[in-house]
Amino acid sequence: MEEDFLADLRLYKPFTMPLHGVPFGLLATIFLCLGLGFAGWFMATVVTSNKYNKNIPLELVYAGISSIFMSLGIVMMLLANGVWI
Amino acid sequence: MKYIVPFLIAGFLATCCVGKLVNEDVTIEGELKGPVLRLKCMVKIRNDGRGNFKSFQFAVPPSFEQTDIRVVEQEAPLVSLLVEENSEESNYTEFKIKLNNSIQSSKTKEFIIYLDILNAVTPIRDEVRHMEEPFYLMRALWSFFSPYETDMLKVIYPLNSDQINIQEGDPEFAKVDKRFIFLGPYYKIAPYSEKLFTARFREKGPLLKMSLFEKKISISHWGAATVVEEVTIRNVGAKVTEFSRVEHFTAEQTGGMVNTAKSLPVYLPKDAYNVYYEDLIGNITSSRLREPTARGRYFEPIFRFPLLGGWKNYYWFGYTMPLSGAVKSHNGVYVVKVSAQPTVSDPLQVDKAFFRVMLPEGAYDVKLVETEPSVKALKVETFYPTLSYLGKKQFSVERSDFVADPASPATVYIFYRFSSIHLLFPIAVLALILFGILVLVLVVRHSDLKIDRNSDKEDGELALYKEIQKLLEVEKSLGKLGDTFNDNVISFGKKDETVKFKQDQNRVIGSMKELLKDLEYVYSEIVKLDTGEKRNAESVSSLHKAIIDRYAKLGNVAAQLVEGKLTQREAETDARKINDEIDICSERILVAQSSLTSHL
Repeated sequence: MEEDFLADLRLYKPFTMPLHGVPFGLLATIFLCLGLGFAGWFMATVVTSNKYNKNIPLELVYAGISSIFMSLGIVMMLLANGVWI
Repeated sequence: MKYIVPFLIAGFLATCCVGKLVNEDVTIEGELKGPVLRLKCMVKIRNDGRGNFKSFQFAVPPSFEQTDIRVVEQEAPLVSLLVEENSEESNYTEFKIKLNNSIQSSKTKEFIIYLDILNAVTPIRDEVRHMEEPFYLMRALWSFFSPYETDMLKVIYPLNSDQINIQEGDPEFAKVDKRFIFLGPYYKIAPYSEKLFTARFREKGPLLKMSLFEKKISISHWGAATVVEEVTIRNVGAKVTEFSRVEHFTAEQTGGMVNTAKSLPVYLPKDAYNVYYEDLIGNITSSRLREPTARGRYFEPIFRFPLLGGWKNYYWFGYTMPLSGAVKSHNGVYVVKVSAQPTVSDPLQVDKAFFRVMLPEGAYDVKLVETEPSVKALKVETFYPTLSYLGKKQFSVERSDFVADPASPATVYIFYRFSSIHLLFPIAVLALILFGILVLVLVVRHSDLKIDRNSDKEDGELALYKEIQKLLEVEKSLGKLGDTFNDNVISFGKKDETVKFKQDQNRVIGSMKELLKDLEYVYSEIVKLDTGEKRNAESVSSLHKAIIDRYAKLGNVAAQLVEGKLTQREAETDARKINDEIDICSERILVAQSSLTSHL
């Protein structure tokens, strides 16, 4: 078994991610701005609504979009700063 | 009698067919690297039998602490032959070397056996004074410990010293010439011949040994591999006493340091970046890092205090590598190649070393392949570093008592499979957590936690809210009409448009009065729901009437200006006064309505 593995080693090529060369810092900035923007929009909607004019599905949509962008932004920020998760 | 002759013939044939190997010519060259004696044995083996030999044997005497051996053919020095340890019933270590091409009858083959003897050099005295050049003892063989007879043997030991004396063993034909010990030639050496001797020599340099080493590699399929190497280095030369700072700095300036090590340079991979070093107490205060060359990236952590005899140093350094330098792939299988050596620039004895590889979260079908028998796999552990939820598996191997040599092929291969969808897992979990926090905010904001609930009161509040919305619509419409009125006044400038202007103004004033009726109706409904607003309703109604009157006056002022009945200055004064009154009325309306709009 060991010989099988070692014999095939010549077939292996250096592996590069499809995201090779992606500027993580720029993406982090963009995603975090979008995420914080949607989060602010969500907060403004929640604060200015009352029980007569509240629109919960819309607020959930804002929350969902904001959390997706914020999580992407946080991950990109970690990668840009050398924390390879 | 009739059975004896066939028996003898059979025995003779068996002896001839089995064959016999002989070490025809052996030359041993030794080299000292710290406490390690590195032997290069150039062996010419002759097959004196009739059969072919597909392997041969080699042994190391029990008095030596040896490491793994490496054997190559003289004709193919880059291909290491397979070595198996086979010494269960003997007190010495015996190796069996398998050949790619057998040694045929009456033929010879040349081999090179590389062997490292650990702790072959020891200081004569445990302690020396500072700046005193210590003497060391080297223990070595002046025979060849082999299962076969040796026809001729020559031994050469170069020592980096000008004072060399043979202490014990009294080898024959020994000659000390400048910095070399020449032994031999010796003839007809019996198998398993163990003849030891010790040589005493003076050495200025340090005797370095790595007592503990740990290398951790973490693979991230986001695009990089991070490496951390922890080093514990000791100077196992004679311990220094009576340290003198003055002598030390003088020697440092003149280049006369004795028994000290100032740094431990290493060659990192060529594509290493983000290189850093750390230690617990500030023992590393300076470093050198050079641009990559063919050999690698030179990195030299410089010790704050040179490592004197008996001292040790503990520090670690790390770097990042692009994923292409650490991982290879083929058909969905990834392989990480880990050199089972500390990153050193020169050979160095190592007591114990650990090599750990942390695979990305979600790696499966993992297989560990070691190319060196001395490398032992340890238990798999699971860790949860940053944003890891399923856990990352760490595979570790251990290696003890060996010589770290950049040229050594000792390697560990880790094969695994990995699905890229696992890269999105931390993002998804983080998004869920953030979403959960926002939903919590939503729930807290919109939840009605009152214990006392009055459904009639809630209906009344809803009705009031709807009436207030209507009021705001009416106010908005009144505001638009006011803007229309002002636009007409601004655009009116010609005398022949006076009739049309007055008609438009009357129409707008009429619309305002209609809206005022709507406003009063809405306010009457509001008063029914909230009687406290009665006074506000009356004042808002009268204020709006006052505003409508003032708009009408404004229209008259504009018409008089165009007809020439008023001068520009008089018209401007009147218009300003009327607009101020309109603003005051508007502000009072806002104040009167503030109690209502606070319900929104």
